[in-house]
Amino acid sequence: MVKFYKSFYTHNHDFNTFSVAYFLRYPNPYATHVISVDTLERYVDDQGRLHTKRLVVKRGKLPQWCKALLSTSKLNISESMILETSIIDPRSELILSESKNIDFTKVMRVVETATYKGDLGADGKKVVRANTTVSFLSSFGFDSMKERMELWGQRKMGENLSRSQKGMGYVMDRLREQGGKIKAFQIAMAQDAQIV
Amino acid sequence: MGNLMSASFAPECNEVKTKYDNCFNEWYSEKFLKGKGAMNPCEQLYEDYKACLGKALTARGIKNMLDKSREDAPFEVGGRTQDELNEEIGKK
Repeated sequence: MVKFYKSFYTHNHDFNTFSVAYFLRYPNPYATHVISVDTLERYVDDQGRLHTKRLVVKRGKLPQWCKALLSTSKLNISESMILETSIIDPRSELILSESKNIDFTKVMRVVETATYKGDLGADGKKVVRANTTVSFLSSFGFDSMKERMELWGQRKMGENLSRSQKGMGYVMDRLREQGGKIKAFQIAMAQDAQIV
Repeated sequence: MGNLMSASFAPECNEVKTKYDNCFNEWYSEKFLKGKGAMNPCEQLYEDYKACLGKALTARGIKNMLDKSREDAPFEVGGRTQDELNEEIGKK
C-alpha cells in the first residue's frame, strides 16, 4: 500500500529569492549528502515558463535492518539518483516541482511533488507557501517487508523535509545578505564550507 | 577555497557545467525572473555541456534508466496530470 506524507510550510522570503535559491540550494550545510547536480533538459515554453529536469546524485541513507538485507542481495545502495522536474512561472509566482528516485525503485519509489507559491504574509511581508506531498511505494520482498519499508520512509520524511527547509532558509539568507548577487553569494557559501 | 558550486556527476563535464551554470544563474536571476528573459544567451554553452553529459550518461549506463523513468508522466502523483497542472498555472 502506498503511504503519503503531506506538509505545509511558509518560507519568510520573497518569491524571487526563493526561485534563485531553488536552483542554487546544493550544496549547503544541511545537504552534505548531495554529491552532484546536473541539468538534463531546460527550455522556456511559449507562455514564458521555465521547464527544467535535473539529475541529483545523493548518498543513500537506509536503516540498518535494510542494509543488512540488501547486503545479501547484489544491490549497492550507497548512492541514489533523483530526477527533479520543475516548472517555474515568474508571472504567477508559482513553482511546480517533482522529485523521484530513478534507481532502486523496487526497494522504494519515493515521489515528492510540491508547489511553491508567492504570497503575502499576515504582516504584509512577501512569503512563499510550500505545499508538499510525498508518496512511498515499496515492491521489496514480502508484504510485511514492504509495509515496514514504506512506514520507515514516511517516518523519516518529516526529518528530511525539515532539513531541506532549513537548507533553503540558509541559502536564501545568504543570498539576501549578498544583495541577490550570485557571485558574492557563492564566495560566501564557499567560505562557510571551509568553516563548517 | 571550498566547493563553489555543485559538481557534475561526471568529473570530465565539470568545466563546461560551471561555465553554463554561471551563465544560466546570471540570466535567470537578472533577466528571466524580472520578466526580461526572452533571449537566452546561454544556449551554446548548454549545448556543449549537454554533449558532454550525453556521453557520460551513456557510458555509465544511466541513460537507459533515465529514459525508462521519463516514460512516466511527471507530476502524476497527487492525482494531477501535467495538463491539469498547466490549467492550474493558467488560473493563478
